[in-house]
Parts: sequence; structure tokens; C-alpha cells
Amino acid sequence: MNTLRIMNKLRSRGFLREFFLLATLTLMVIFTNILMEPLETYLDTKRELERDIPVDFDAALRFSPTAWYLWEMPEAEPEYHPEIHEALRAHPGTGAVLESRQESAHCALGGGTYNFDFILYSREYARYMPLKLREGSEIQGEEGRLSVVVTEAASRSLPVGTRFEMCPNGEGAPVPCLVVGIIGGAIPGADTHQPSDSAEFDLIGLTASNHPDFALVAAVYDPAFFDEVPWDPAALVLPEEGVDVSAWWESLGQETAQWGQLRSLTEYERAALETTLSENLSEELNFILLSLIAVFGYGAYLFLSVRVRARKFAVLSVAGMTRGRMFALNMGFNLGIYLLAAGLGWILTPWAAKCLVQMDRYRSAGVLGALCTGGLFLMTLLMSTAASLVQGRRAAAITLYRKGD
Amino acid sequence: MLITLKDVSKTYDPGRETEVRALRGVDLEVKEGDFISVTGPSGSGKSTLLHILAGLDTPTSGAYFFENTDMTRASDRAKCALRRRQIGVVLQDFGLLGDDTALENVCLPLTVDGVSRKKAVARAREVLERMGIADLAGKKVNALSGGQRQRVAAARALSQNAKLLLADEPTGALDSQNTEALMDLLESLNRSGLTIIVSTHNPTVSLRAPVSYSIMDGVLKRER
Ligand SMILES: Nc1ncnc2c1ncn2[C@@H]1O[C@H](COP(=O)(O)OP(=O)(O)OP(=O)(O)O)[C@@H](O)[C@H]1O
Ligand SMILES: [Mg+2]
Repeated sequence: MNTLRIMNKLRSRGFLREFFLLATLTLMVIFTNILMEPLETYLDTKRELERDIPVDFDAALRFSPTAWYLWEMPEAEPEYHPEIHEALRAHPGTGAVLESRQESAHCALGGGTYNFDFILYSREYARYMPLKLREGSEIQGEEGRLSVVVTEAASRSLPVGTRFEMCPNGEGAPVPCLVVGIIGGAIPGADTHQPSDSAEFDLIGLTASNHPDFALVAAVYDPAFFDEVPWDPAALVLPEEGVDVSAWWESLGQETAQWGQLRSLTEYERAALETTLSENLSEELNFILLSLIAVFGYGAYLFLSVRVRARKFAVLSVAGMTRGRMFALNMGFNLGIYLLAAGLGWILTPWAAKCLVQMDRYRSAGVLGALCTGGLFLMTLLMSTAASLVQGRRAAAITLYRKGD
Repeated sequence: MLITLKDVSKTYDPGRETEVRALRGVDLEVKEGDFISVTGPSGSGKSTLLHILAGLDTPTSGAYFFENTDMTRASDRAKCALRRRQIGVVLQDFGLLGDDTALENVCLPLTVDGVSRKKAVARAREVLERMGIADLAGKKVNALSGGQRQRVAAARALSQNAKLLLADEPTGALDSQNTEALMDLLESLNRSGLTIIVSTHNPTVSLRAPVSYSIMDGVLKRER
């Protein structure tokens, strides 16, 4: 009780100042939440994917002709290489060869055209990595039309039941399509297990028109519709169950050396991440800058919070309060304000994401956001409280010597 | 002996350009029941001396014993405990919380010491009464005059039956009438056994103290 009473005295009576500090802190929380959101979504989706898809990604290999990335070989015309995939499949120890690719298409609809990406999965791929449909959203397919499932985002312009024409890659004969469902879960990215949030992209997954149920949705390659689409030879190669993975990796690597490169999926993804990182350098610099601003925002808040109380600390010290207790009290006080700001921040984040940064759909930040804001706050709390108490003591010492109020 | 200072020096920012030798070789012995004034011009080291006596500051060299406590070695905890119970301090600027009431301010050392609210309030009212300002209990300190604030600060210093009262220029902001009144109060407190050390640059104040010291550039000298 007495501790609360003293804490109450620490509060500055200047309502505006305290309010300003609280507002700053709330903004910082919102800011961190928004910054963390993409990472949070990524990790969430990845977790979801790993839970739903019974593939041991650590054992998987990625085959790619001569280069790490297809888009790094401008000369090589990607074609279907059935013999390469046959050889991969026939190699002892191989369990499956999963082919998939991402394409874009023009869709004609109600006089307008829309651009969409779509994913083509081989039947095998669709069996290993099924897409989840949102429950209750599916309808029956139609003979002579390609059944199509769409993401949440795409469903705004292509609601379930829409009939439309699609030109893969903007050329060739138009393919008649029917939207039969909405994708409810994560979409396994083409030939990696890097997930993408189905909600964020204008993606359509294509289903085989004759597929009886849509548990295995995906663009199962159907020559009736896509006879001109060449397959990308890059593929995900999975071992048979119980195989010695490293031996299989090695012998397969020797055999495929003439056609291309074999990398572990983990290695591939790391390289992909590095490439993405170096490609998005300016955005990362922005991110780091913004994080620094956040850290300094917290720090400055806490620092100020002690500085404005320097005189009160001096008075409390005259009244016999120990430095340790003052330190603890100050921490407690700041923690209280932080909890208040965190609560406010979390309530306001979805609104701020929409209005301030035009983030279309903010999924509330989860554990990561909390860990990040909390961790960041605790770190700066400790650092700046220590720093500001040292400063505050100096200030208090000087305050003690000054005359007048 | 209540206080023993031996060859105490205080240097601020030693070795730097801004170095100030605020106290030089100060020796002082104070018995229980003494009433001492320390007179000196501005910047002579009066506040520094009182802050060291209060344990708010530590000497750069020399020895300081409060009763049997070696204050140069004592922990922050121990010094704080002394300030809560034995040493009452009235700062030069009063050191009151202006937005709080007089009663709240007087309660502060009791609250910090963990005394229950009821007891603290009762005790604070009693001390305010003794200082002759019981009627000001509910007033905010910011709304009080200099003389009234001085009494509130004294009441706070004595809220826990301190043995020693350290008052830093208690009459600095007072007119001569209020100065006399405050000295009357200090004299009566001293008669009831309180040891008092006041710093001042006002000769009237030093004349009324039975024992008088002067301080000049950090050097303390006994006058009477
Ligand atoms: N925290 C500090 N840091 C550096 N120098 C200080 C500090 N406090 C006091 N001083 C210096 O020490 C010297 C003595 O100061 P002190 O406050 O003790 O004087 P004083 O006699 O109380 O003066 P006044 O009558 O103006 O209150 C002064 O020169 C002052 O500038
Ligand atoms: Mg002074």
C-alpha cells in the first residue's frame, strides 16, 4: 500500500506530459507490432504448413538445372525434361519427385482483365502437399471447365461460382474456368517449403476438372488444358522412408551432376533468403532504421521519465528511501505505464495498420510481437533506467543544491 | 559524541578543470543537545557540509562518525535508515513536493519507513500541531508562504522523532519577523533535547545559536 502511495507521488501532475509519454510509448508498441507482422505471418504459415504436410523437409533435396535459380539462366529455355525426372525417380532411395511451377495468367471477366498468379502442381506434388480448402466454400466442378480455387484476396474479384476465361502467360488459347472454392490454409510455395500467406496474394490454385473431391486441390497438370505449358525441370526430391539420407544425397548428386545441381532444401532456402535479403537492401535498411527509432523511442521515454522525476527522487532520498528501492520503484512505475501502453497499442494496432500504413489485412500480432515489444521494452527499460538513474542522481544532487522550488 | 568529523574534505570533479574544493580539513564534534550555527557567504560550503552530515553525500577524505556508525563506510541502506529515523533534514529549497498537501509531505518519511497509513497521519498531525501549523494540513504546499513551507519542512524532518535536525539556510526566504518566529521554534525544540545544526548567512540567526562556527572557502572555524 505504501509503495503504491509513493508510486503515485512519482507520477507527474503535468497531465499533458504524462499523456504525451504514454502516447509515444503506445505508438512504439503499435510500430513494433506492425514491423513484426510479416515475420510473424511467415512463421505462422510455415508452422501451419509443416503441421499439415507430412513431408520431412530436412531430408528433401532440390534439383535445379545448372543454377540455383531458374531466373538466373536467361538462355536456357525451360522445357519439360521427362527423362531427368525419370532418372531422379528411378534412383534407389528416391521416394518422390515433386514438380510444380508458378505462372501468371490474364483472366477475362465481365469485360475487364485481371492478372493473377497461379501454381501448377504435378499430381504427385498435389498428393504430398495438399492445399486446404476453406470449409463449406466448395461447389461442384463442371465438365469442360477447369476447376479453380482462389485465395481469400483473389476471391474478392473472383467469388465462388464465377466463370471466366484464362490465358496462361497471356498467350495461347483461353481456358474456360470455374471458381469452385477458396483456399483456407497456407500455400506451399513452388518447389520449396517457403510458405506464402494465402490471404495476401492474388493466387489461384488450379484443380483438375475431373477431380472428385477437392481435398487434393492444386493445379494438377492437365494436358487437356495446358498442352503448351512447358514444365520447369526444377523439382523437389524426397527420399524413401527409412533411407540413409546422406548416402542417398551423395549418390543422387553424382548421378545428376550432368543435368544440374542438387542442393538440400535447407541450403537452397538459405541461399534464397540471402538473395532476397541482398535484393531488398533498401527495405532492410529502412527496417533497421525504424527499429532503431523504436529502440530510441523507448529509451528516450524511459530516460525522460527519470529526468522529469529527478527532484522527486532527491526529495525521497532525503526522506530516507534507498537507491535500490527507488530503482525498483522506477522500474515498477515504468512497467505499469508500459503495460498500459501495450494494452492500448494492441487494441489500436489493427486500426493503425489499416489507416496509417495501408496494410490491407492485419492479422493480430501473436507471440512474436509480444516477445519483441516486451523484450525490446525490458532491454531498454534496464539500460535506460540504469543510465537515467546515474544521470538522475547527478541531477538530483544538483537539484538538492539549488535554491527555490 | 553524536557527531565526529575528522579532517573531512570534499572535492567536486577532482582532477578536472571544474574541480571545486568545497570542504577542506573540517574537524567538528557535536554533543547531543547542542545548537550550532554555521555562517558563511554563498559558495563557502555550508550545504556541502550539511549534506555530508545527512549522509546525502560522501566526503572525499577524512572520517565521519554518527554515534558509532562510520558514515564513510556505511551502506546506502544504513544511511537511509538513519535519515528516516534519526536525522531530520530541511533542505535549502525545503525539498517539499509542491503538488502534495502539507500533511502528505510530513507523512513521507513515515510512508517510506512502512508505517501504517493511520499511524502516519496521526503522527503527522501531531507534529504539524507542534509546529503551530495544524490548520495547514490539508493545503497544497504550492499554496503556502515561505515561512509556512519552512515549518512544513521542519515538521517532516521531525516526523519520526529525529535526534538531529540539519537545517540548510532555514531563514533564507523569510522576513525578519518570520525569522525570529522560526528561531523561537528551534530554541524550544532544542530545549526539549533536539540537537540542531543550522547553516545561515544571517548574523541574527548565528547570534541566537549558543555555539557558532564560521565557514570560508571550505574551512570551518569555531567563533563561539
Ligand atoms: N554537485 C556539485 N557539483 C559540483 N560542484 C558543486 C556541487 N555542489 C556544490 N558545488 C560547489 O561547491 C561549492 C560549495 O557549495 P555549497 O552549495 O556547499 O555552498 P553554500 O555555502 O551552501 O552556498 P549558498 O549559500 O549559495 O547555498 C560551490 O562552489 C559550489 O559551486
Ligand atoms: Mg547552500
